Amino acid sequence: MLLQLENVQKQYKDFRLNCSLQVEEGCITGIIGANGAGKSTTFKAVLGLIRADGGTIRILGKDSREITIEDKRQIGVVLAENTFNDTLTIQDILPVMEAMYPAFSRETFTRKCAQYDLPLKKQFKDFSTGMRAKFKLLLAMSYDAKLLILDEPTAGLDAVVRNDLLDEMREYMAQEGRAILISSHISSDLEGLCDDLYFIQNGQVLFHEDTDVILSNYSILKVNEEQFRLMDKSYIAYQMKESFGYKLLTKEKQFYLDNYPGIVAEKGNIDEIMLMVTKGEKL
Amino acid sequence: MKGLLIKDYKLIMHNKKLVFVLMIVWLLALQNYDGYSFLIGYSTMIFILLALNTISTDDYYKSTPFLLTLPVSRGTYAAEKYVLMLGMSLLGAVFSTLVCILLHREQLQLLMISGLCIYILLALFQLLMLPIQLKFGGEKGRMVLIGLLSAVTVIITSISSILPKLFGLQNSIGTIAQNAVIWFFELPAITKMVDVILVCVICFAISYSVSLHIMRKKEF
Repeated sequence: MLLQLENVQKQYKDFRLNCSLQVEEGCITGIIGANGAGKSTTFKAVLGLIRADGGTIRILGKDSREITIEDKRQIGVVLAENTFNDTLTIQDILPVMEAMYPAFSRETFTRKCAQYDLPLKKQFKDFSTGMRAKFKLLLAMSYDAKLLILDEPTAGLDAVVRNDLLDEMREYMAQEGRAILISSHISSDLEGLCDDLYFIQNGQVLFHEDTDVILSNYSILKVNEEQFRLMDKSYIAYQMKESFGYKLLTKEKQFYLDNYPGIVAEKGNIDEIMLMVTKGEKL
Repeated sequence: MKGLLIKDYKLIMHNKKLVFVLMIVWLLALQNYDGYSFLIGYSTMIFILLALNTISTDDYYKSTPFLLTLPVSRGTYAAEKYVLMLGMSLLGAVFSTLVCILLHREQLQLLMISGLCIYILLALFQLLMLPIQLKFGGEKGRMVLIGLLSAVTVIITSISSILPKLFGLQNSIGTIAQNAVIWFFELPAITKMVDVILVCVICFAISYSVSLHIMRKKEF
């Protein structure tokens, strides 16, 4: 287990985080949730940028309070809003990275920068949102870290570059013993990338599921009033009233397809599921 | 710490045009002005402001949280700022003193004493400034520092006018302070040096402990 959070709590004036999650070796774990759901707070707690009020955080098998400088070299980080000072350039930070990370390769990194059209002598403040996102992600992957912690790494990127960077992450995972914890607003990125997903809302983990299970077993059922009244609701997790009747979220798609042949069962996708979980009524 | 020092060096180098202009002004003043203490202080202050600017930009561009995700502890971040600030001011004081000595070799001893005194005074000022900068950041830190210095001035002025009346002292606080300075300068040289070193070490220990405490408690 490369990362484990158990009942990690943080209380703010009008927000309370209470989060448990795990990131296993060889896995890409995604966190999904609306703005203000607690994704960034979770990342900050993991990285020690805020102090948790309770619970335990274990990184690379150690309590987070016992993490050493050598351990930090095994963690690559993308923060949604922060990187090096905006007055610096990529050229400037090359010796910084060399001094901090023995595994950092100037040649490999500059080659990657050239591949993604990142200018070495331009100040970060003059970078576009996309250039900044590319730089942050390439930097986090540049020193052979075991665990990548990526908060909104693909925000602001066009579809082509996003796909290229997602491929970079997949390639990164080809080496054994690595793991990624990633959050994103773009659910299609997470669907195609992650092995498992955590849905967070109001600081709480609403549910955790393998992506394969979500895509194969979860379904949005669309039923009219009559169908809704007669159906077995044992496997319905959330319901939402619609003009035609009800939209229902189930984890047992096959049960309803077998027992209610006329029912409309749409394939589960993360956006629909998130909508049901956040706006629907829990059964 | 090496990585952070390189990062700050690169930041400082982005201000080299400003430094160049300020140093030209300084060199021109050097030709036409005999107040060497001011000139050494001015040059040292340029170096201090350059170092201080690295804290301001870390704060302004919100890069501190990211820096702390690198292989850098909160203690190392604070320590690096002390090394940078005290190192830069030393560099400024040594550089300006040497230039003044080169131009006026006949005043070697006076200039060396001036350089040393100015460095010590400015170093003490930085020991006050650093915890405030680390706690409040660039902009707010400056306001807090101005407020603090104003408050200290008001308090000292008030005390110096009220205390003699309250306790029936014949001399004002200013005279007492003046007598204390005279007494200090009449001490043997070695005692003076030990006293100054002792004060600096105590101030450094207090300032650094406060900064460490601030960094360890700070949330981002």
